[in-house]
Amino acid sequence: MSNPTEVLQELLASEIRGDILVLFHRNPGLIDTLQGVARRIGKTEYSIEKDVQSLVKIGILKRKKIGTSEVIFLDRDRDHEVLESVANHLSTIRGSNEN
Amino acid sequence: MPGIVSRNILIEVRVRVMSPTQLRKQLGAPNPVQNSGLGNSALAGETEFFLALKQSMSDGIRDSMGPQILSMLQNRGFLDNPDAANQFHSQLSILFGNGTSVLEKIIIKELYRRLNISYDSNSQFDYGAALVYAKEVCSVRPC
Repeated sequence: MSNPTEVLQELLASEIRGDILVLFHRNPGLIDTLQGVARRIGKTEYSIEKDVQSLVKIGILKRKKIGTSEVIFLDRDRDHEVLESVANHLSTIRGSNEN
Repeated sequence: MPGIVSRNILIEVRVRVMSPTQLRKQLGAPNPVQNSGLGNSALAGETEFFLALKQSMSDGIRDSMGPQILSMLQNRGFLDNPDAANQFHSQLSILFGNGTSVLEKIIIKELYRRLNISYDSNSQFDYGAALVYAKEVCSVRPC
């Protein structure tokens, strides 16, 4: 997925996705299981699975197996790259009351 | 008294009369809630609310979409009138489309956290109404 419009819609597709983004941006070194991430944002593991998978697909989050557990963490370089590309795209869109 | 020269010195003092409303306008402070009977505490509450909202908008956008997007929105004046909920909503909608409500919820969650107001994610969401509620809470108790 490289189209910034599609990426933007995917990033803000749900409240849970927004909460996950805020969690990892406020704690960029966080490494936790799906269950742990869900607990941190006050949701269940099952309810956030789809949103985590979507952010993994964009590349902002990564999954890695450590022992018997699978953990999730922020890919800081990819995150920066994605958000910069979205920012560049947004800066080209002008509102009706803007010059 | 003999030997003492009397001098009349005229001192003119001009006092510019200014109403409290004019004074607040000059200082850039918000007007107090009319007829609330709370006076200074209502004004303090409103100022606290305004500052908390401004900070919550910046933090919410930065923490969700990153500093580049926050900076772009600031440069375009999107965050200049935090109180104008409808204008903010319209401006965001042009850029973020359906994602606007997610961004607004992030801002409101951050604002409510700062003001110690509980947020119910299950109730129907309206950005403007959520701001009005927070403002009302700040007018009746310290925020």
